[in-house]
Amino acid sequence: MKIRCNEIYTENGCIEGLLIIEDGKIKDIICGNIPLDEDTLDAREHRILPGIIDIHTHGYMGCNAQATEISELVDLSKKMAMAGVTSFLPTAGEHFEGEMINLSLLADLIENPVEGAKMLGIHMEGPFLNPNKKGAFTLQQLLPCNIDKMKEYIRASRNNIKYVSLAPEIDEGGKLIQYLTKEGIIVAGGHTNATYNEYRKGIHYGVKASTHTGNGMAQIDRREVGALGAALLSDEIYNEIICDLHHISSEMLEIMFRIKKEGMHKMIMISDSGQLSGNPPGVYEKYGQKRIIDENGMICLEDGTIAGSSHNLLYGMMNLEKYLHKNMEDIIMMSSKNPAKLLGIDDTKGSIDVGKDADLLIINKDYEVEYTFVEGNCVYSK
Amino acid sequence: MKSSFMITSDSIYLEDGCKSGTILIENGIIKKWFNKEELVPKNIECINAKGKIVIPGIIDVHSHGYLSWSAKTINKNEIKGLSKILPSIGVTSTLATTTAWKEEEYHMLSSIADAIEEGCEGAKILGIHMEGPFYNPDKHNATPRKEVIPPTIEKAESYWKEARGYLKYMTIAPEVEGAIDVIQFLSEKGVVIGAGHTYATREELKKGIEAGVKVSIHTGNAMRQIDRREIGAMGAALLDKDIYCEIICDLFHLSKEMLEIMFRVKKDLSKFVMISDSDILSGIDPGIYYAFGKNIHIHVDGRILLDDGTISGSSKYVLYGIKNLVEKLHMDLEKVVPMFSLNPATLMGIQNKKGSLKIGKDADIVILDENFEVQNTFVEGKCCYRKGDTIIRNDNFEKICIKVKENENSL
Repeated sequence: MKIRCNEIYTENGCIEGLLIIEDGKIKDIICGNIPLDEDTLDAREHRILPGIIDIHTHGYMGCNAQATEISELVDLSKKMAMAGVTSFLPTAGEHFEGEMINLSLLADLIENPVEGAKMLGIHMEGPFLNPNKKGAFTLQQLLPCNIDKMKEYIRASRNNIKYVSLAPEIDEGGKLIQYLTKEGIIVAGGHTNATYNEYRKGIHYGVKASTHTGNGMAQIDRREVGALGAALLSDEIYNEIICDLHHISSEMLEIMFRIKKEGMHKMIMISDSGQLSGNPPGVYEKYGQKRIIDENGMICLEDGTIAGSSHNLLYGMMNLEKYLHKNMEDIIMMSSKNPAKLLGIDDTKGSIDVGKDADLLIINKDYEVEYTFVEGNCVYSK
Repeated sequence: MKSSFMITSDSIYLEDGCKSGTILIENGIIKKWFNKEELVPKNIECINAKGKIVIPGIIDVHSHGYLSWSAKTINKNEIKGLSKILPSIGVTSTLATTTAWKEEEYHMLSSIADAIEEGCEGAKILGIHMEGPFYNPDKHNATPRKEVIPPTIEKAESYWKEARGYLKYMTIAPEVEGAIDVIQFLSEKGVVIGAGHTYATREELKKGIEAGVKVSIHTGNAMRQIDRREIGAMGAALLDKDIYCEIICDLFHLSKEMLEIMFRVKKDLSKFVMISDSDILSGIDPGIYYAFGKNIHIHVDGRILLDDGTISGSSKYVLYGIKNLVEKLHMDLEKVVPMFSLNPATLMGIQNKKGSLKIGKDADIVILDENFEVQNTFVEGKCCYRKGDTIIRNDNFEKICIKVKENENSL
């Protein structure tokens, strides 16, 4: 198939032209004012961006990534596609009764993809987190670091866990971090009380990313810059960031971009969305806890603790363009390219380029998703 | 004083970079520059500083004193004494920096003005920096809370008058009621306003900046820290492209990582002003002292603390910070030099006369050895310190500071 558009954000910049898609791949990109023919999709009013890769999402619009019913997980892929996401890491990690079933169901969908956004693997945010930085987790959902337990998770997921967020300071001697790294699983440091030196040690043992940087960790203090300072000062690691402007103010995002030596080249936008995300403001219930979605789209516990974002990642992209005045080229680097690089799949995903998967997001002027294509298939149209 | 002399070295930090050559000084002014290859006059005395480092003199806009001398005094001779010893640590210009002192505040201001008018023999006293009394009562730090008073124009005007035009710099917490009016009032009189000892949010600092705030006082200390959802005065000062940021580089007040973060956030090193925040007890032997109604602990590692652990200024000096930036943060000296010379000069509006080694400017020059030890300090061409000179202590020191205990090791 062919798509004609005046703003295609390709690997080599924004062009006017034609995308030719064949066998799920981008076969060709032709620049210029190409005339339309009848089997060309006319997207001249819109923008074509590389599909979003969301490495940190617990769910969306009623679907929970930790569901123990396959139908809910099948649905999740569809719902993610509605938000412009073409691939993602369903994010589990709460320790609970059905955890092993959940992991095996996710594995089913990773091995046999259904229609919708593609599950690339599992992100486990937890249960090895610092109870003092638990955020919206309950204490019962957390566990001390335990390699045997981790092995069970990996077994249940049939080696489909790709990414684990843990608190590096509770992993004595970095044993778990080193084990996961050896298994080829990416380790991110988060929900952590680590000091600068403790976090640096984690990086030394193998931490490759920081989980929702700036949230779930101590703030930068003049004499102890902490995990946040370490995560930003490190040239090696990637930083997940939530750009809903509630988790982190726009000024703080600017500060973070400046502290990082390579700036936006090492930042990865995430949604941190959950089952309740995408819902209108109101009072909801999850695990017997009240959760409140306020008018700004924040999801909070009754005591005001933030419990994730009700917004999707595309909303963050809009914020970065509208309020932080970032170029779309930089924004898509953070929403597609960088997560693909971190996951080591940037040879096939993460940008619009000849030979890569046709994972595309077509948005209109109001940042609404018009179409989502996953490997050449239109999985959502408005 | 009619005099000419030259300094020759292979590393002279001129305004446009580090060069090898000779500077000619005449009547206190930098008269001429000779590149290494050029012929220099034969009949003029020349100081051979080969292998040494020649830098512009340090301008310390925030120094309460040093080595037994305090700017918080009603004795003009103590200001003169302070001026005399500052060249031993490379300082050629300073602002006599006071703190709140309800009982004697006017007397203190007039005494400093007297000293300036009568003339000081060492480092040039550019004027007075009043740090306080217009603090935020919650960020008074080492200043007793009872000394903090609310800002009013009447009070500010009386300070201004008492200081006879020498009030050049004032620290104010911009969020306190009445502060904005005072900032406007003093800014119009040409006083440089610093925001400090403040709990200001980003918005509150912005209002202060609109009213005239030009600099952030010991940035990162005695202010709200950066929070992800409220970056506060500290974050706002660092993001603002026009505001100068004072920094203490003793690595106690701010960790080395924090300094790195601050440099990266600000992007522009030309807005940093290194300060000592030194005081009467800086450079003094470790121990516990009783002064100004409180116990002050000088730790062996150089920290000066109150009983409760609050930092009470630095025992170090700007040159110590310079060494830290070069040796611990691995910065080029060339990049560090403006932070203690040209930047404070520009902030004070005296960059045409001071702040760099450039033809036509005052010959405020320091010669250092490779360990950053002062060999010679020249203030307006006059040699005010030579290595080995005796550094005179204040006879009144023991009246002001009573040593309670020797060598404080644990705290």
